Amino acid sequence: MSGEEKIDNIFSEEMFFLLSGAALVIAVAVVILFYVFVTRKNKLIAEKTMSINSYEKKMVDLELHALRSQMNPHFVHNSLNAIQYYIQMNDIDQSENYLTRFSKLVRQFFDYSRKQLITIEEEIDLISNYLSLEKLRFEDKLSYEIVCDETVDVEASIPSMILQPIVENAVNHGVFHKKAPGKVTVTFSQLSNDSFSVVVKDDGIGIKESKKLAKNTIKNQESHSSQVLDERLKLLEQIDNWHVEYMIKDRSDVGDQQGTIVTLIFKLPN
Amino acid sequence: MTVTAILVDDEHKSLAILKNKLERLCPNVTIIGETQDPEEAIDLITNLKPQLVFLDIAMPGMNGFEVLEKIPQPTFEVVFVTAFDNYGIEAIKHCAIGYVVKPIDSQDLIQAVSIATQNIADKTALQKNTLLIENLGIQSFQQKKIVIPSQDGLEFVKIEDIIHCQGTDGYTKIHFQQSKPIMSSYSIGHFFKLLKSKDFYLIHKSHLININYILKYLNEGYVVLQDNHKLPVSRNKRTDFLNMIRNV
Repeated sequence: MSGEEKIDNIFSEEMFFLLSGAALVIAVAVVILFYVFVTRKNKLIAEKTMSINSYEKKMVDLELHALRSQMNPHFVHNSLNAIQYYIQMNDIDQSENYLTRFSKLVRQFFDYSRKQLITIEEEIDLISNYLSLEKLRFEDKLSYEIVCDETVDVEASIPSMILQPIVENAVNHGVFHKKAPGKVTVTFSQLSNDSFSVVVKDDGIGIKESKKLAKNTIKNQESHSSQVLDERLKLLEQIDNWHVEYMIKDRSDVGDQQGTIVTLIFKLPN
Repeated sequence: MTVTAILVDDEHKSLAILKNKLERLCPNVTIIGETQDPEEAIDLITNLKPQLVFLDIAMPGMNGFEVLEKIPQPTFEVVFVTAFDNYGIEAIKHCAIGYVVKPIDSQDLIQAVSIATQNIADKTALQKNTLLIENLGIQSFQQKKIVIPSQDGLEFVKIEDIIHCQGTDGYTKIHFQQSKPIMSSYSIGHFFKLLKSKDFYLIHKSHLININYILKYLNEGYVVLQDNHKLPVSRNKRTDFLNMIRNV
């Protein structure tokens, strides 16, 4: 009796240790698995939020950069300088004219830099407003023309903040350094149902000569704005499927004339 | 004191603004010439030998710095006139040369003219202009020189030789690796702006240090520099300072 009990006891004790040992192993395994699962899940969430955050951050950065490349300090201060001139001359009409145009352009810069897309009509309005201000500053030294083919749908969209810095380069790097008067022409053409082109042409000193001059001056703002443009075009392609081709040529390389031609081909997302 | 001046700006509007302001606000300035063409400016300045030149920076073909560089003996005071050029203004400040920004503020112009007028008597323009041209040709910030007005005149010091600047009662004592310290009547804030770069850190409201000369950091919040000066780091700057040092 007592022997059997003993055996029973020993057996159940053994069983007890074995079972509790197994239970412990399982418990530990479950805890470890749970821990691994939770950390991995957290990591995945963190990665995801990070990529969303960094994406958003990138967008905000680009927006700011674009705004900055449009609100070129040189342009802002030179415009204000010209207004100071008309105030000094007591020319009230011209002071007011200049001031309200400048204000309108600044408003457009702020509005459009928040939007990804604007209509071609809005873009033409912005460019023509910008060029008319530069015309007030450069007077006879600058003339300009904006041509829009009849086939172009002016209600169609165009990515914002791309064209104006290019037109500004034509004025500041092309025409500015030319001794004789210069002309900037912006042409919008429909290429097919889902693509159109914008050509910015000037008869200034050309990009090769302009780069030479930029080497002499200390800071090269042009390279900065072209870098912003590259990034913006890349992002447009990734996110919105806009395919934009960008080509810049010195006119002396393609013909016997001087100046720079920038061609942009916009292909609408499908 | 009457001062003869030449005005150079490619835009006729800017020339008109400046001329109008000078006539109204600075009666001691006599304008002996003006031009919109940078090439012509070189001849005009060389022939008429003005005491003061107002020089636009951004001009077609040749900028204001290049005009200055092409004049054989630039012994005249310069006041640069610019719409905006961060880097250019920094270089001008390093050499204690005058400048005004467009649109021109009347008070700024009066001040720049009055300082230039005082400087003419000191005959230091040639040194400052030469330094500006030298500095513009140097890429590395540490290799550039700055002008420090002191009791004895102008001191030209290489930025990399400055160990630290110590502010005392509105004055600043500048310590160097080799030579004796210089006392400047400018405040430490002036040097903080002048030396703004990754190499200089304002560890305390009266201590600006060149981080290349740090020997060690003591946990109680002090840095020891190579000239054995032990300087306090403000409590609120310690974290940022240590982060910066770790990243160097």
